[in-house]
Amino acid sequence: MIRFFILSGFAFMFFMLHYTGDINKYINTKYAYLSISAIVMMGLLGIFEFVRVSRKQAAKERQMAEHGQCSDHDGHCHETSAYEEHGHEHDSEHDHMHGHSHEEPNKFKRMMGFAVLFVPIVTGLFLPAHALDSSFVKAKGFSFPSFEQNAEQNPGNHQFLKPDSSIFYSKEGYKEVADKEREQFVNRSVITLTDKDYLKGMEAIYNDPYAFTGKTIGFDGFAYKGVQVDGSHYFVFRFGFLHCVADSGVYGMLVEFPKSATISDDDWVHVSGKLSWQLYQPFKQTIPVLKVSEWNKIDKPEDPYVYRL
Amino acid sequence: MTTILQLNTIFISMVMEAIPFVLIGVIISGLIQAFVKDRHISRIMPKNRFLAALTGCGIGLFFPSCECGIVPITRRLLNKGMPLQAGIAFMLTGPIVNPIVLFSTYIAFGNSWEMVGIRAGLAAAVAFSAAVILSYLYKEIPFKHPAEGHHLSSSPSGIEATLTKQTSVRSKLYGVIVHAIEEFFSVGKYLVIGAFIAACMQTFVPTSYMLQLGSNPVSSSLVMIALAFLISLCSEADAFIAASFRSTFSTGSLSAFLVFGPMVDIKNTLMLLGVFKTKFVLLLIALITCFTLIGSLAVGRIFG
Repeated sequence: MIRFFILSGFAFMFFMLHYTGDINKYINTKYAYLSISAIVMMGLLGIFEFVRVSRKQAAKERQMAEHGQCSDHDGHCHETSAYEEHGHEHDSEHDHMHGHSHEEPNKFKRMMGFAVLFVPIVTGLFLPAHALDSSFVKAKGFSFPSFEQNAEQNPGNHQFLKPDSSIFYSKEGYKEVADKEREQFVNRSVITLTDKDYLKGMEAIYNDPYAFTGKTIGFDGFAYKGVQVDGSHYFVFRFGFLHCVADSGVYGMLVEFPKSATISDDDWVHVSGKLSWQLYQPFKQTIPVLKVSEWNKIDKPEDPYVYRL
Repeated sequence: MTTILQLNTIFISMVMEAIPFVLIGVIISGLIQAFVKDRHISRIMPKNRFLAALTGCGIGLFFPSCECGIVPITRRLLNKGMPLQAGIAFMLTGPIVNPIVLFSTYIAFGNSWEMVGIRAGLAAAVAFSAAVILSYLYKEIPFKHPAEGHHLSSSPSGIEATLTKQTSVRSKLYGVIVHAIEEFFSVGKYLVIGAFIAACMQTFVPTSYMLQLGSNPVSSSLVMIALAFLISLCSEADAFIAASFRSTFSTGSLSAFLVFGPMVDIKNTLMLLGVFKTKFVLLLIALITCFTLIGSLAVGRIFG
């Protein structure tokens, strides 16, 4: 019966995460079909187990009624009842006894196994999904390789800060897509990135930063101080992921706030300003920096992550 | 407190990502139990040790499974009389040499077949060498509970025994599900513990720090091997992460990451420990580490 509870517990936990929409804090919703099929499969397995166990119990009770008092000890019954009739059950009974002799010392272990399986069900249901924040940027690490370097020589170079989907396309295909995406942004004088086009827009900007210099760009993210940045500079980041939180990366831009601004790590902000260039000492290269003209603190968005769709 | 919640988030996300594949794995394992007869395997398997190991490397192509689902399938095949070298070769190559993983590698590395070839080739070479050496050292299959295999294969209670005696498809399917559930519970707990440890690693060990350690070919390969073990990514997603390290790491050390991760990581080490004897698992991991290191250095020499 414990198995039934665990199977349906998992199915229920997955279902609740889908139902409340928290699922997108754990996995890329593009792969939601996998967990939905897991819900269905585990639900079916749970029902199956339930039916099987209750049928087994019913059969046991029937057997008990038939055999009377000695039903507790199958071995005894076996000796007293007609051997020929039950010959075919011999194997299974033998096994059964064998199982019994082994079960007692292992019972604790089995219970531990079940307890372990209950842990994710309980923590998944009752602990809130906590979004990754700036305390995690360090653990995940971000680097900022020279984006002027030709992407052909070193594709997939910029998985941090600058999203790079060139790896998803062939050379010509990527140029086409990149051009098309660039067109979507480059002709606007004011570009405000939403959750949907965050990765796309960042990529377009980093691909051709000169074309975007001087334009007004706005986006949301959380602040991260990092190392060796002076008082008014912060990184503004989003965590973006492919599959699940475990493989997420950090994408965003260095932002120069007015001197008077007081911001601390993990504050969610909306920033907009003009794109410019500055030397960033830790990387020893010039990188695009957003000079903020307007900014305000915002609430943490419902879905703190951005996805590669 | 925040740290614990973040840890839990990563932990749950890993469990969620892995469970669909574990379910596929246990159902395939149940199907093997019901429909594959010992004689089928002995007919396909070459008697020769080396050919058997090679065959094992090839079977993976037909099982779209990642490393979370492979252990129960392997255990079932070994129970059905598959020789040890073939079973190990299958278990190690299965999560790499399969259509889904190879395709994601192809995409992650900019639509180039080079990395796909390196990954598949190196995986096959490592698996083959490790499997052959182990087959010389172990005459019998080193299951943790030698009886367990038989215990599982004959149904535990009377009502099922009579059902499986009839060979109708219906009762066979019944058997498939019974075994799948059995299997789910026997690997599930190791998966959960493994995901928990891996989530701890991701939370408390800054990868950025580790990445700075790789200064020469040997140490950078070792760093990549350690990283693959610690972060325990699904073999379907790891190619994208590897691709993001391309600026800082050479092809050789990336191939170590891509080959070692699917074969050995925290999650499946625990699953292996649940099935095989501890000494065997440690030896297996040691062999894989050595061969992956040597292989990745060779790859580094050839492909730069």
